[in-house]
Amino acid sequence: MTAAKALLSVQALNVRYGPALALQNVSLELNRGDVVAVLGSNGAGKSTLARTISGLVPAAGGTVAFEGKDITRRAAHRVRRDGIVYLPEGRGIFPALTVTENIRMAADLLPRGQRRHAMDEAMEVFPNLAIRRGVKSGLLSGGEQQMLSLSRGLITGPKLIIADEMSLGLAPKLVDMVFDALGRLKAAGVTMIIIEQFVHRALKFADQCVVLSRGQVAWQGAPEGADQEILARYLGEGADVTGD
Amino acid sequence: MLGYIFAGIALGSIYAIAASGLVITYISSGVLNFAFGSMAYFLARFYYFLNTQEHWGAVPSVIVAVGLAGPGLGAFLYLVLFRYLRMASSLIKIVSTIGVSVALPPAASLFFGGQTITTAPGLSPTPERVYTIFGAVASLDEIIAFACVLAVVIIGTLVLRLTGVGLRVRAMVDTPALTSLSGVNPSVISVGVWMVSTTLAGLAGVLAAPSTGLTPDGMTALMASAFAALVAARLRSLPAAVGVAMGMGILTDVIQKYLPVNSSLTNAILTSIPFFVIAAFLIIYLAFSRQVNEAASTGGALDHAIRPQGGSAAMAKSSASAAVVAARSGWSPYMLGPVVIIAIVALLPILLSGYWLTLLGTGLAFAVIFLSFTMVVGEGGMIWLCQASFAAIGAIGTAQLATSHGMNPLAAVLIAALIATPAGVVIGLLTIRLGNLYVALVTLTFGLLADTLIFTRNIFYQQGLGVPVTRPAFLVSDRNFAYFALAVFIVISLIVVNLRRSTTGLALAAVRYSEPGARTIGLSVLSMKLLVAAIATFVAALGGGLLALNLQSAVPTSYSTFTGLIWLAVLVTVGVRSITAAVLAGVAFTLLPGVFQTYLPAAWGNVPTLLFGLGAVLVAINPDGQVAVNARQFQSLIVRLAERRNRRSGTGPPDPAPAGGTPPPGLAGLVGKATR
Amino acid sequence: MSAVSAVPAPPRMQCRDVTVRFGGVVAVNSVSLSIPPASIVGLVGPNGAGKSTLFSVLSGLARPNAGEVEFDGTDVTGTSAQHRARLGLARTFQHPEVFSGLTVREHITLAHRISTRRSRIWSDMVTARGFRRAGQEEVERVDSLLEGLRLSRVAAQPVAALSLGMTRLVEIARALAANPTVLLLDEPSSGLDAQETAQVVEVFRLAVERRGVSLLLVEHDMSMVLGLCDYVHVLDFGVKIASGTPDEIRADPAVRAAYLGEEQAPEQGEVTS
Repeated sequence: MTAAKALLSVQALNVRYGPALALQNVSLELNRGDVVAVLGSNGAGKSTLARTISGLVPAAGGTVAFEGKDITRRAAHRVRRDGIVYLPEGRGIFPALTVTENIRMAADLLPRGQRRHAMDEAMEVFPNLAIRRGVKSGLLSGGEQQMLSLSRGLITGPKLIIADEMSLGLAPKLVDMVFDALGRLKAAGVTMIIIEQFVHRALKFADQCVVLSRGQVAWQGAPEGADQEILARYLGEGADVTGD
Repeated sequence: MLGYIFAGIALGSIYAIAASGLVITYISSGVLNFAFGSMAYFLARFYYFLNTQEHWGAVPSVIVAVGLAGPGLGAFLYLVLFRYLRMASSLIKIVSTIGVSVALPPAASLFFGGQTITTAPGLSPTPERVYTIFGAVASLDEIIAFACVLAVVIIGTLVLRLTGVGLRVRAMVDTPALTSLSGVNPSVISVGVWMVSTTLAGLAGVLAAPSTGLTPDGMTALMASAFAALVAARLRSLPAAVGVAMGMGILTDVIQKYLPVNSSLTNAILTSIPFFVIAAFLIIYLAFSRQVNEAASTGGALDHAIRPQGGSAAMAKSSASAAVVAARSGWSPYMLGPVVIIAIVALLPILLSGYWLTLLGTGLAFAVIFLSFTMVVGEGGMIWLCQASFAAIGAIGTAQLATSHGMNPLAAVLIAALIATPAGVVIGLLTIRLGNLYVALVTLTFGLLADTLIFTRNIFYQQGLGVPVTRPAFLVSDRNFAYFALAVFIVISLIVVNLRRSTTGLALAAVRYSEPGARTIGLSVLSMKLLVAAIATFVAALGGGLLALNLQSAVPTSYSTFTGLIWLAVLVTVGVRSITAAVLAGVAFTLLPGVFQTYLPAAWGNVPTLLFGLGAVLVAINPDGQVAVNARQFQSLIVRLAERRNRRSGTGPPDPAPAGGTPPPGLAGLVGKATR
Repeated sequence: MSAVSAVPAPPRMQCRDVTVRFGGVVAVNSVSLSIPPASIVGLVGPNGAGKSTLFSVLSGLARPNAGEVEFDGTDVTGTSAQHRARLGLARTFQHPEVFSGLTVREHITLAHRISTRRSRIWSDMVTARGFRRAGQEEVERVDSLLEGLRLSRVAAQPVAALSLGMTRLVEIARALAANPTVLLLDEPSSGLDAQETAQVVEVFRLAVERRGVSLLLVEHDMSMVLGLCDYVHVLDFGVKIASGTPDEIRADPAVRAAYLGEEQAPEQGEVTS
């Protein structure tokens, strides 16, 4: 896994929010087609990592390289144009815009001739959205909003998708739907970073797993047997805090 | 009746254009543009320059002045200022746009000539054509105004609803962070919105000039009506803002039908409409939710998540030192700076004479007024834009008591200040549950209301001469008066310093930095804010009274709210938190224009005001004020010297901060945290 | 310390069957917990479990739809946050609500004066106290707090210049300066690195041992809570799914399931240790 061949290479990343240190010396490498699960309890720095890669939050130190180019200080809109799609925590939609308008905002990155076709395709993949195309997306159900967020991300054929807590607050059936959609992408060879607070699903899905704790990489390895490690991190078994 | 409605629609159209210009920049870039009135003035003045001075036709003039210069001015201001403001605290946003608002009018007279303009032409050719519609008369100007608002609404709606650009603007309003995540450059959208907004300002200015007069004050008054529509729309809703603006215009003209013509009562009612609209809507909103705050109403969850929290870099930078903080207990070498400066100022009355001595006395009276900003903005963290009105109450109160009731002039100053104080407390009570931006809006409209409602009454105004005030015998000489004003300044400074360093000051600072934090230790936010409001109002009125004594008459127009904005700009340029800054700002405010007027060509007369405005704009870059920065270097020098001496004598204080000699908490830290 | 839960001393603070609804959603469903004297109680759970809501109910910022809150044996369910503060309830915030321009010493001095000589807020204005030195007794008291929280070194620095960890300590010191009996801590370790967390944890222990304060921690970090607390309550989807000593919680299958996000019983297969 050399840096030159990696699709995304994060090296020694440091991020601060005001006085709070959010990420400390975080490194991560993804090759084309990799699916990495980033896990950790709330506040561990998972979302910060995603926001920094996607250019929303400035890095205080370290580098982010994508396809061999340094994108550490690149603005979010340029990172998006480079092919990194960040599906933010909560719902990555414009609640005041209609479903169609939401998709159009994403499709505008495509060459003029392909937009219409891409939008029709997105509606075909998620028939629910086609039915509610004229509805303000803020009025959709949580599951539909997540579908919309996904379809916004997929429409331009991204090189890397960062999905942040896609299952949060969804009923189990809808979680299945979200993971089905992500699974189709994985099958299509899309590189992905999956951020999850709930572990099992993400582990079944990923080829590689990174556990963050207090802004640092606490553990990194294959998903098989990772749940033991994670449980230990969460509940403090084996960690020295329990000793005293 | 229909004639009144036509006139009302025309007026409402102008308000609506202005209100929509204000709303679009607020919702897309989070900046409420207090310079909107000045932009309108600048562009309308440019139109007048082309149309009247250079004899261009109305159509080419409006194309150049509004259609080209408007977007140009907007793009320029965005690039040099507004783009830096998105993440700034509300106080910095407000003060730097006020800086623009102060700088533009003198810039206009520099470019276009400084002559007084009595009547401004509208867009229609003179003599104005008049049409009869349904039996009522409508002038061409009225029809043009209505056509303009129709065009703005229709084109605006079409662009926003049907075009890709419009979609991006709406997306940006919804959540800027997600817009950039969609690959759209937010700066491009913002600069476009600012260009459109400035163009609308120019359009409103050109349309309003014939009726409101082509003056900065007139345009600021126009802005007050637009602000009322804005508050009614909770700063966000474009249709609501346009609707309320139209309604206010129609109301203004229709009630004239039922009011006596040319009476002072009519005038009073008409000018107080914006204030009452604001009051009514705020009361309604407060009835539904206990607070009206702008912070909750911009951007989505993601935007809040990526906003820098608490100690942002700028805040830490501007308040990161123990050195100056150490000055808050006991005596310290830091107190030497102010003492030296005041000692130098105390020498001036001996060195100066005649004209300059008069200016110095005026400047020292201003220094007292500026201390009220030091209290309310600096200590209280409340952005009040009506201190000039309190000064005016002090001045006219002094004149009435001393001249009309034969009271001792000094007693009159004191009693007038006491009379003014409840006004400040009432404003404090009214605005206690409002966010910073609303506080600024309410106090500004209150000031404008007082300007037209109270200060234009002839009992105070006396055809522009004001009521004369006689100085007491021992203050007749300007030198004595300067010393007297300096003495008053020093006494109030000592009170302010004592307050700042005592438990009271700690409590005030606590409330200013964090209201939830202050509540958890059992402080009453309400009473602390009212205290600071009362003191600041008293000081402003006292300064106003002094100023009247100095000028030997109380001319209400010298205390207009727009003038008050210049005062704030001056003080902020120098530094809003320090006593030294107040005295320097006061002296500079009068002596600097004196220097320009005496030694430089007449055309340069407005340059000082321009400089003060630019100074306030620079606050966006350096929140502490320019002189505060220099003073800080001076102070740290003194401290280093003192420490060296102490070290030699073996009683050195513990090493202060790592970044020795950094500033007192400045503007950046004033209004608690940056909004999250 | 785990013996504390067995001691039948009356609790400093407790809530019974508290239910909070937002619209149709039940954020907290009939939760009871108690805070015994001089103990550390943890309240944990995954994101959205209702911890913050319950915290607001205890601190007085939110009213429950059902259930009561008692402080030192008196019902305080309907009373304001200020009223509870006067009874001896203090709190900290997840994003520290400190007075960034004031020094560390000033924070503690102010809180101390308000709790002991409240009238000085007004009287200082006219007595020119700003030009005199602070009283000896007050200085000693403030010094001892600074000492106790290891803040003496930074006492003269404005809080804005401090790290988040230090800022948290200042907030705690400010709360302790008012001599509370119960201190509610909202995510005291979020944003801190491991070393800072250890420092904060030590301060908590000292506060309980030396001052007899009771602490309630709302936390995301299970490992910290399990290492520190005498008694732990776990919420998930607004329901208390477990409570007990840290050892009991670690062994609880429901807790493991909640944290791994799986519905099936975790005993089967891979999770056995």
